[in-house]
Amino acid sequence: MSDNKEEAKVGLGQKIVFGLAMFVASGLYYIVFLNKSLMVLQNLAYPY
Amino acid sequence: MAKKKGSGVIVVKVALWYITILSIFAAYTNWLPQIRGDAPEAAEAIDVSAITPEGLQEMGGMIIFGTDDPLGTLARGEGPIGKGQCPLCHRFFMEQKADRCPNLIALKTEPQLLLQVSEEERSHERVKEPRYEEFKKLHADGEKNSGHVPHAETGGQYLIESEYCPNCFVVEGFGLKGTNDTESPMPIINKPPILLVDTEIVAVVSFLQMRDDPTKWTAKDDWEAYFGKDLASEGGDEAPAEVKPAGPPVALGSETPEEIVTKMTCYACHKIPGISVAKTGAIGPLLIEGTNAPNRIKSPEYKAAMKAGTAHATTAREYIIESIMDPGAFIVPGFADDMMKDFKHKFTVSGLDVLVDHLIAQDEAAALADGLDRLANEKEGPIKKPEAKVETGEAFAKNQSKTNEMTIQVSNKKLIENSTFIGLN
Amino acid sequence: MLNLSGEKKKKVGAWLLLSMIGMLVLLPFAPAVVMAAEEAAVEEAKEPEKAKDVFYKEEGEFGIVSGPPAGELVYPDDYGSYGDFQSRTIIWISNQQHLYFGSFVLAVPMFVWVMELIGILQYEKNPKVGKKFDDLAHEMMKISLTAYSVTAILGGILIFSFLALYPGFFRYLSGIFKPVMHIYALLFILESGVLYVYYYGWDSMNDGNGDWKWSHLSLGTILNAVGIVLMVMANTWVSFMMSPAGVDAEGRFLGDIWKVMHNPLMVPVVVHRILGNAAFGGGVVAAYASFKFLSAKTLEEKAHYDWMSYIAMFMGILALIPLPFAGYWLMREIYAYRQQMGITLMGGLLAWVFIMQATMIATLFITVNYYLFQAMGRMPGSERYYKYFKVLLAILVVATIAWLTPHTLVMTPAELKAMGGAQHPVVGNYGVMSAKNTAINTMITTTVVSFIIYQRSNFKLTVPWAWKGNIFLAMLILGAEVNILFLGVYGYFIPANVRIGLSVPQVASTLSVLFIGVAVNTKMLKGAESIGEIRWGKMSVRGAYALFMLAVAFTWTMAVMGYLRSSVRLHWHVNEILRDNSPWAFTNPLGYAGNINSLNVLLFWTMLLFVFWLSALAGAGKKKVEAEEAAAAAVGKAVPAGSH
Repeated sequence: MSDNKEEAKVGLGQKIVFGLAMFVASGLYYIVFLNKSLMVLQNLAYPY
Repeated sequence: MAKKKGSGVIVVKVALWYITILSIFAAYTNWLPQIRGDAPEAAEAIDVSAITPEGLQEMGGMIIFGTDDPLGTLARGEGPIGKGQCPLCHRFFMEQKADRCPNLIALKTEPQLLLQVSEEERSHERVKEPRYEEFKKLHADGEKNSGHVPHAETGGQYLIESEYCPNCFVVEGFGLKGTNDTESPMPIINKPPILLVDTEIVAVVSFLQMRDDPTKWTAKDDWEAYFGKDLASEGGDEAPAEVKPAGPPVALGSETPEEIVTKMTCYACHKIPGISVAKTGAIGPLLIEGTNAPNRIKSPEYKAAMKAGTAHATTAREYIIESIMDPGAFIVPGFADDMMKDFKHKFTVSGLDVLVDHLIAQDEAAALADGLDRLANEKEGPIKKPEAKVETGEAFAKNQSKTNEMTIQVSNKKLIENSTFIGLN
Repeated sequence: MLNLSGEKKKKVGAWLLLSMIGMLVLLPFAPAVVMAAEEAAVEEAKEPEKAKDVFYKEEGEFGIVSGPPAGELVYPDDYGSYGDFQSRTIIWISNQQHLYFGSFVLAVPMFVWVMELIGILQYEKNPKVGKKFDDLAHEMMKISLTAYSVTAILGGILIFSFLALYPGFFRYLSGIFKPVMHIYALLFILESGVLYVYYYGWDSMNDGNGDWKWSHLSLGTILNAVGIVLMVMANTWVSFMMSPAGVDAEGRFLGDIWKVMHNPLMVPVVVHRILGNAAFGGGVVAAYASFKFLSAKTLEEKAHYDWMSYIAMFMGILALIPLPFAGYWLMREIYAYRQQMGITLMGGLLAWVFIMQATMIATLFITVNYYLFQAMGRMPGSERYYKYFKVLLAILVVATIAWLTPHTLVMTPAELKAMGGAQHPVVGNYGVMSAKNTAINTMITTTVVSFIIYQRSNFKLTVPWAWKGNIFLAMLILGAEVNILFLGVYGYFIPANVRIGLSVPQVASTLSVLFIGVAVNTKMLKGAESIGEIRWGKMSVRGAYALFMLAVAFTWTMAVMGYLRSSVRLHWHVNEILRDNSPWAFTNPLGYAGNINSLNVLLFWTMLLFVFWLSALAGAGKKKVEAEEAAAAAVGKAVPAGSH
C-alpha cells in the first residue's frame, strides 16, 4: 500500500522495527489479554 | 441506458434468478442425508413373565438405539437413537461420539481399549462410593423432582434408581455446571419427554447388565427389591393375553417345575428330586443345587474358571442361572460340555425363577428321600455314606459373603472411571 | 383562539399529539385490569387447589390451579385435515408467510427510524444530505404500508388454519393466553393508528429539524416500541410451546400469566428474533433498491437506488454481526433448559440442519464480499486494489470448503473398512466444530478486510502516520488470524466441553479486527485526498444481482432456522405437556423442509414483488402529475418530498 507521499521519507529499517513492535503488541493483546481473560471469565482455565 | 428494457423484463429476469438460487438450495438439502424423526410409539404393554431375559435385552437395545444394528447405523454416519434417546449423551460404542454423560461402553472383551470394567461391574461400585452416602443425606427427604430417596444397595438397583431419579447420584464431573455435581443434566426417564414405562426401564437395565455377560442379569429382581413390589405388566385396562411365542417351546412362569422339566427335557440327562419324570438321567450331574451350587462356586476349579473369565457367579442362585443360560461357563469336573446351549432362548424370566426355586430347594436329604444318588463320575462320591457331610445353612452364608468380598476387591482394582478414559481419548 | 406565535403553536400541537398517543398506549392494559379483578373475585370464592410449576421450581413453587389440564388430544376428533395431506405443512406455510411479512413490517420502521434520525441530524450541516436520508426513510415507509395490510390478512389466514386444522391445540393455547391475545389485538389497533399518522403526517410534519419533525420521529419511536411489544407477545406463545412454564405437569394454568410468558427460552428467542428481523429487513430493502436500480430509466434514479441499496445492505450486515452471539446464547439456554434438546439440535436428529445453516452463512459472506468487489466499480482509484481480490477470494473459498467438510461421511461398509471408520483420518479432522469456527471467523475477518479496502478505495491517505497505521492494521489482522487458527488447532487437544468455550476468544479476535480495524481505518481517512467522488449508479448489474442473492439467502436462512426451532419439539405441540397425536407428529426430513422453504421464499418474494410494483404504480402516477405541474409552472422548484 505505497500510495502515500510521506512514506518515501520513512526508511525500511524503521518500518521493520515498528512492524516487529506491533507484531509483539498484537501477540500480547490476543494471547495474553483476549484469550486469557476470556478463559478466566468463562471459568475454562482448566489445567489441560 | 436501459430504455428499451421495460420493468417487466427485469421482473422476469429477477424471478428467474430467484428460482435458480432457490432450486439450488432445495437440491442441496435433498442431497444431504435424510433423517425422518418418527414420534415414539406408545409404551408397549409387556408381560414380563412371558418374555425371556434375552428378549428384554433385545427390547432394551431397541429402546436405546431404535435399531437392532446400531453399529451399522453409525457406519452410515447417522446416530442410532431410539425413543430412550440415551446415545445423545451416553457413549455405547468406541465409534460413537458422546461424552456429556458417563460412558456406558461395557466391553470387557476389548482390553486394548482400556475398558476392563463394564457398566454392570461399575454400577456395583457406585453404591459403595462415599459420595453415595452424601447423596443419601442430601436427599433424605426425597429428591425434589422425583421424590425418591437414594437407597440402592446393589449395582442393578443403582441402575434402576438412576433412571427414575437422575439426581439421586451424580457421577463426579458430570453434573450441571455450577451445581457442584449435585444436579444431573439427565431427564427423569419415566416422565416426559422420554416417558418410558417400568418394564421398558427394566429392559434398558437388562441391556446394560447382559451386554457384556448374559449371566449378570438381575434387572427384574433389582426393580422389585428397589420398589418393594412386584413388577406388574402394564397393559392398562386390557391385560395382555398370554403371549405364546412362536418357535421352540418356552418355559413359562405359570407352569410347575414338573412341567418345565418335561418341556425342556432336562430329565433326559439329569436326575432331579421332586420331579417324577426325572429319575433316570445318567449323563449330567444329580441336580441337588442346595448342596451342589454353594460348594461348586468355592471349588478351585470354579475359581480357575472365574479367573479365565468364563464363569462369574458369586451366589448359589447366580450359579444355577449361569449353568442353565450359559452351560459352557463351568463344566463340573468329571463331565463333558454336553449340555444344550439354547436354553437362554427358551426360558421366560418367571419360568426360569420357577425352575431355579425348585432346584435350589433340593439337597442331599431330598435326594435320599426320593431314592436318588450321584453318578459314579461325580467326584463328591455317593450320598449314601454313613459319614456324609452336609453343609449347614450357617456355613453356607459365611462362605457366600466371603466370596462376595473377594470379587469386589478384584473389580475395585480394575475400576477405571470415565474421566481417565476421556482424557486418554 | 389563543394568540400564539407560530413557533409556540407548533410546540403545543406536537405535545398534544404526543400525549394523546400516550393515552392510547395505556388502552390495551384495560383487559389486564379486568382480569386481575376477576381473579381476585375467584380467589375469595373457594379454597384453591395448588399445584407445582413445571419450570419455576425454586421461587413460589406452588401456584393456584386456574385452568383445565392439557389432556390427551385424540385424532381425528381434535384435529382437522384435508385427506392425507400434512396439515402441518399448511400451518407451516401460512405461519412462515405471516412471519415474513410480520418481520418486514417490524424491521422496516426500525430502519426508517434510523434513517429519519440521521436525516434530522444531518439537516443542520447539510440540508441536502439530510433531505436525501429523509426521502429514503419516507420511501421505505411507503413499502411497509402496503406490506402491513398483507401481514394482517396473512395473520387472519393463520388463525383460520389453526382453528380448522388444530382446534384442540388452539383451544388449549388460547385458554392460557387469552388475556395476552386480547391485549395483542388491541395493540394492533394502536399500531395501525400510529402507523397511519406516521406515514400520512410525514410531509405535513416535516419542518427540517424543528419540533414537528422531532415529534414525528417520536411517533416513529412509539411505532417501533409497539411493534416490538407485539412481536414479544407473539413470541411468548412460541417459546411457551418450546419450553413451557407457569403450568403444572398436567398443563394446568397456575394463575400467573407473567410466568407463562416469561418462560425459559423467551428472552433469548426474542433477542435473536429482533436482530434477525433487522438483518432480514436490510436484505429486503436492499433487494427493493436493486430492483429499482435495474429498472431505473435515468442516471439520477440509478444513483439514488444504488446508494439506497448500499445503505440497506450495510444496515443488514450490521445487524448480522451480533446475531451469532445471540444464537450462541440461545443455544446455551436451550442446553440449560433440556440438555437432550440441545443435543438433538447439535448432535442428534437435527444436526444436519446446522450444516445447511453453515452453507447459508458462507453464501451470505461470499455474496457480501462479491458485492463489495463489484461496488468498487463506482469508486475511482479502486483499480489499485484489484490485485488483492484474488487472494481474498481464495481465502474465502478455502474457509468455505473447510466449513462444508462433513463430520462423518456416508459410504459403503467396504469403503468404511478401507478408511478405518466413518471419519476420514485426514479430512475428518476438518469436520469438527473447531475447524468450522475457525472457518467462519476467517470469513468474517476477510469480509472486514474487504470493507476496509472498500472504505479507502477512492482516497489517498494524507495523515503523516499513515505508514504506521498500515503496519498496525496489517499486524492487527495477521494477529487475529493467527490467533483464530491457533485456537482452532488447540481445540483438537482438549475435551469437547472445554472446546466450546474457545469459540468466544475466536469471535473476540474477529470483532477486534472489525471494531479496532474499521475505527483506525476511518481515522486514517480523515482529511484524505479524494481521487474522485463515488459514482453512484455506476455499479455493475452483477452487483445488483448479488444483492438479490443476499436477500434470498437471508430469507432462506430464516426459513431453515424456523424449521429447526419448531422441529426441536419433536412430537409435542407444547413440549412435555401436550402431545401431538396427529399422524403428522413425525419430524420431516431436511429435504422436505428444503422444498417447503424454497416454496415459501418464492411465495414471499412473489408477493413482495407485487407490493413493490404497487408502490411503484402509485409513485409513477404521482410523478406524472408532478411533471405536468412542473411543466405548467415552467419553474425549477424544489422536488417535493417522497417523489423518488
